[in-house]
Amino acid sequence: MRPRVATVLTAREWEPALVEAARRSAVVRLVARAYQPEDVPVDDLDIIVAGVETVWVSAAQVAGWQRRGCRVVGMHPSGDTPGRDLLIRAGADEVLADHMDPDEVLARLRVLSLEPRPIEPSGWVVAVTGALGSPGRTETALALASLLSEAGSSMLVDLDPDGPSLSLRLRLAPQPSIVDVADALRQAPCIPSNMAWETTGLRVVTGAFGRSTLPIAARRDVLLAARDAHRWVVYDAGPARDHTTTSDGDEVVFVCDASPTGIVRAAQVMARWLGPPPRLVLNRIGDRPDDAVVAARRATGLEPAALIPYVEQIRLAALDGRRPDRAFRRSLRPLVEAILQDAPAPPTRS
Amino acid sequence: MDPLRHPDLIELSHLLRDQLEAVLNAEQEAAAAARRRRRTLRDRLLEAEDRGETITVGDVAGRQTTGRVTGVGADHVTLDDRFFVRLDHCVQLIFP
Repeated sequence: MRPRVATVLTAREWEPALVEAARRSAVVRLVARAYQPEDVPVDDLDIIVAGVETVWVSAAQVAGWQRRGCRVVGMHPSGDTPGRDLLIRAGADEVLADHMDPDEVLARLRVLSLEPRPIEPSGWVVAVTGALGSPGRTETALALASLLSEAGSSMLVDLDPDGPSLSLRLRLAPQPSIVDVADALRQAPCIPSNMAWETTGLRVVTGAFGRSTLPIAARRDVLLAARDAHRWVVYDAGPARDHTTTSDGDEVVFVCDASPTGIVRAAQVMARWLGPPPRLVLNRIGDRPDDAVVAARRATGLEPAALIPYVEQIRLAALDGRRPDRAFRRSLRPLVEAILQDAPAPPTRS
Repeated sequence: MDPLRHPDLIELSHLLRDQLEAVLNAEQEAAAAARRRRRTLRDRLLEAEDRGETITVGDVAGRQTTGRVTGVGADHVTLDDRFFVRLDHCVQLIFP
């Protein structure tokens, strides 16, 4: 059986030389040359060969591939000790200098493929988003993570680029924040224990002030590492701008203000929505919930999965830094039950 | 302690790293563009063979043949071990 191999495209010479050797000798099946992480068909692979010079090949990414059952071979420039050390710390199955003869590399790949890596359990990621200005995203994410923690370990990550308010909401210090976590994940495959806050039965990674745009690769690293360590990961994705806002989630919860303006804004986002339909949460429902539900259904084409009433205690709980109010959590129960029912069970170790 | 983790230098370290990453990303993008420019039909067929893809091949006579790529020779491609199409007769490949 010839192993299925993908390489990560790079400007360095080892990659085209390896591809050339693989095609000439047919020792391995070269199924992809990946330019971006999404180009790696990880479920159809035995081995990934990646160079340390590629920015998005981080320790968290290596660990993510390995959890999905792939062996990872790291290539580093000859003499690049920090690069080699990074690959070793990341846990790459084989670390090779990139001046090595490509046929020798192929021989190593064959040996490596004799011992397949088992697929490891991985968490379920829920992205919480909404139209620009929709209130209650953070509160929904917090309550959702809190409720899901009753069914397994749960992590809440603040990835709202506009208003990373989770640290204020929970009255946590501004640091360590997601920037520190992302920095750590370049070197280590998992989130260090001192980088995530423990509060109300949750592990929390707060957003960063002053550095609004976290690179997409860093964001992905954080979620990969969170998914590795927890059954449930909920992240506040901020306002829905394009498909990348929520593309790291296995499913999306869309928070919509039940006012006419909120519903119109939600309808505008839904009109250009790509991907599977999100679960709709109607927030701040007033005296006429039926009207709001009908309007939301007509405008967005979505059936609301949860209805949050507009009650003062919810706002006060948020202002006081307490856990989400009971009324809020009770309203989210149907949504949580739907998520618990639909999320696939984590794969067992094989 | 890594000197670039010092609180006074952390912004600078982020800036330097962002610059380095921009350069590395540009290099990778150039490599991807160069690969696209160098790529031949045979390269893509070899990839299809390794992936076990089923493709449709259109030839100069206007015929279309569909099958799994089971082999790519020096001058031909084999579909389902039965159909042999000369590479210089291929005018169109349709992938799934």
